[in-house]
Amino acid sequence: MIATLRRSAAALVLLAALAACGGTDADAAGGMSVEVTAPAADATVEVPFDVELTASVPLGTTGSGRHHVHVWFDDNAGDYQVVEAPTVRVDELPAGPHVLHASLRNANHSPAGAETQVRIMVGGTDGKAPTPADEPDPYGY
Amino acid sequence: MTGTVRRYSRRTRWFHAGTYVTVLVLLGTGWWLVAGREGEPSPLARATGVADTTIHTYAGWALAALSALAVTVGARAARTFLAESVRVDRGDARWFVRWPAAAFTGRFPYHAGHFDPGQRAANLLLVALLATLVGTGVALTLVTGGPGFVWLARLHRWSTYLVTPLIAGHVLIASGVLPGYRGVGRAMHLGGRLRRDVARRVWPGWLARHDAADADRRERVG
Repeated sequence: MIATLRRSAAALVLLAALAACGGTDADAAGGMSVEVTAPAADATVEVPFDVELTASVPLGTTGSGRHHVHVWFDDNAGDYQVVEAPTVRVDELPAGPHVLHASLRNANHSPAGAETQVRIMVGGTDGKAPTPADEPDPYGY
Repeated sequence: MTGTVRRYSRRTRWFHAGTYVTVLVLLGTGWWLVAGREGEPSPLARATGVADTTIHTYAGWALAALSALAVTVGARAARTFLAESVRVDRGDARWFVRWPAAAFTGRFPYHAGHFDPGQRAANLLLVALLATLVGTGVALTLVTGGPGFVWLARLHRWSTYLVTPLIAGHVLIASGVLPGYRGVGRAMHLGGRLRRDVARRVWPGWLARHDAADADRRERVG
């Protein structure tokens, strides 16, 4: 039985060792990048607005094994949006100046080594996307 | 003879507690992520200020460390645990047939094991699934993406789907909500003193062996 336990432990170590050799081609290539193409730096936007990203690797879901991007504002790195496509909509952000952060992530959520940030200004007063009730009634009722 | 009996050592009880606290954190954060709420801090992430993915990874390493401890420092206990879990006795099938009703009536058929036949099956499944989760979890921290990652993630996710109802069942039984299992939780908690009538009802063969060994020890000392 002890031998079985030892074999199990050895298998675990072997699995970890094999995994250590199992990075992606993109990792091996290095030189990853991510850019925020919209909004432009120092642009003034109204909520909601779209953030457009350009990454050096294809983005996709975690289940696909592809990279994704974490987008957050200011110092709230723990409260981020997972972006698995080149565009993401921001529906809520208080009015005023903000720093938009974008961090390219591996499928396992570890940093891929590419980050960027742009300063933006959110116009308006409440910083929330208008709800249907807030929108003007097209029929004038 | 006292009205209670100790089934597990203090070390085993602490190991069990460490394991389930770790596993509960892993299940909580894991299901939070499976539910697509990554980036939205869970109550635990808010309380600790650490992202759910990071908590999940740290807890996974803690479980890997506990597993390593179990097969090294606790090798003897692990061997006993496995030996008692793989045993098959005559009458086990009958035990399984009468188990659903006995969970409510408490009239379990006799079995000679340290674990009842249901526990033995659950132990083996739990160990296999937790070992898979630890193994694939360690690998997922190292494989950053690509096809290897996809397969590891798939295995990790399906092991989670399977282990969750198993652990829920284990907690249901240990909680004593089912009348037949009332009081069994004390075997692992609050000093580990189990009432003798509970031990006789659920683990009769073990209690008989325990009492015989106790009497033998007293005879040698006295």
